[in-house]
Amino acid sequence: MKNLKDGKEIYDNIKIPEEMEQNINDLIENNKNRADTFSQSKVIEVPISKRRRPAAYLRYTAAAAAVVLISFTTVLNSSEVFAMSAAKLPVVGAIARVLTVRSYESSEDNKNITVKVPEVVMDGDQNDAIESSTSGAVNSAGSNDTQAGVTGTPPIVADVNARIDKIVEDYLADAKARMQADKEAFLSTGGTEEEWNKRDLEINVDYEVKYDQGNRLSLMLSADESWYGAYDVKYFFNLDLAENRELTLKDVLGEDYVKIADDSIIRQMKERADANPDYVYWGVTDNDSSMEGFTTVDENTKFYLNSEGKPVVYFDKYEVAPGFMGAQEFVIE
Amino acid sequence: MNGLNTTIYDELVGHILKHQDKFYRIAYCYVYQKDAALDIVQNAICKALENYQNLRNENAITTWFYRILINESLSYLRKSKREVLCEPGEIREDIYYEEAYEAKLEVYQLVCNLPEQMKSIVILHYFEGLTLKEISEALDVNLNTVKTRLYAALRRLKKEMEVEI
Repeated sequence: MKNLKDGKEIYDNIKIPEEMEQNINDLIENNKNRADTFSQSKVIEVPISKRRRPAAYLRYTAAAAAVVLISFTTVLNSSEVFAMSAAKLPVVGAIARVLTVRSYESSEDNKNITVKVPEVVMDGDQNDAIESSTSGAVNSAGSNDTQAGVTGTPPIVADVNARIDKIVEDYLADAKARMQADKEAFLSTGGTEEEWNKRDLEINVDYEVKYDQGNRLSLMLSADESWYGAYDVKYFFNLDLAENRELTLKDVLGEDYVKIADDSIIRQMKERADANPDYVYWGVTDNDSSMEGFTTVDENTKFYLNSEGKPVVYFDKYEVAPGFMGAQEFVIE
Repeated sequence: MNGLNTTIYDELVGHILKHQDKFYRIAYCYVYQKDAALDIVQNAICKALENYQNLRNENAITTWFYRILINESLSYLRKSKREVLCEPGEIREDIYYEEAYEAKLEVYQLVCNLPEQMKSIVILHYFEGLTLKEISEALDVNLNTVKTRLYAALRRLKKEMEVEI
């Protein structure tokens, strides 16, 4: 067909953005580092709260760090001597730690399920420290094993851990149900079992420690299914361990937190929309839109603390802007 | 990483580096927007690098990667919740434009505005030169369905082009 060749000529003349090649090289390089981390079985110190990477790579960084943590917990469990010495190390800077308590990869129906469930554990009395100086490798990444943590665990920590467990359990059940429904649809529309098995489907549950200093702990739990971006979910847990309760925006920003956060968010939305003509914030930079967008923060607004301890308000995709803009985050100064 | 997997991983990286322009063009045909297309390509690459273990056979890299890329493109569209129609006005800036292209743009636009299922097949077959069998692997659709959809697409294009003229 002659006419389709015309279309191809346009297609072949689509400009390739200059930055793409470099971006892709970076991606590959980054992934290579991650793959290397996988192959190391040694215990490595992970200064969780100091991790800072570009946002695009966070997911991979988190995965790598989680893998390291797994190897750490494994060692804790497998060597009694190691476990005892690690449990007694002094801890600097934070009174709580986040460990991967359950981590598994399973394959049901040839579909991969990767789960890393975090649990908050309290570090014991810091005075009751130092008997072993042999575990240099463990260093300040050392933490109590779960058991030692139980004695001093405030109710809020137990509560958060229970909620995390529940969320993970529910998500996995839903995701598996969706997968099963898809499979039935696939088979009933002429697909074969064999073809289904060739499809790559995954469920991933992972977490990231956003802030972990003093009494404050900020944790993000994320879950996704590989081909169903619409089911990505993120949960944030912010704790004030000394007060034994959840940390609120009001705690961080003061009595005036609604006004402070609203003003800052609206200002940043306008700045971003000015800088990028494709950006739209429903109801803020685009009043014609029938979409309901941002109005105000309240006690249920999602946020986390960044590495500097500043609150970052988080909106899911579609919450305040079109999905192509992705999730939106606003640091409140 | 061990022996065999390393080979497949390296093959995959080689494939990505070599064909990245194609990936971008395909993604562009779904979103008609540079940044969005870049995002899609990069996400697809991340997924491929993460999941290369699922790739058992290096001969399948091409179709396997196309599948990831197209899935990414479609899921991006679904997530962005907006119907994107291809308009020549915006596209002129994203191609190496010449005036002679004016009529050709319409053909490209008609292809891009086909329903998703037909569009992917036409792009892969006529623009990327994949065989129908490769397309059936890449889209995970059986061969007869690919044929049916391709013919339906061609009938439709033909009709629309007649109307245009």
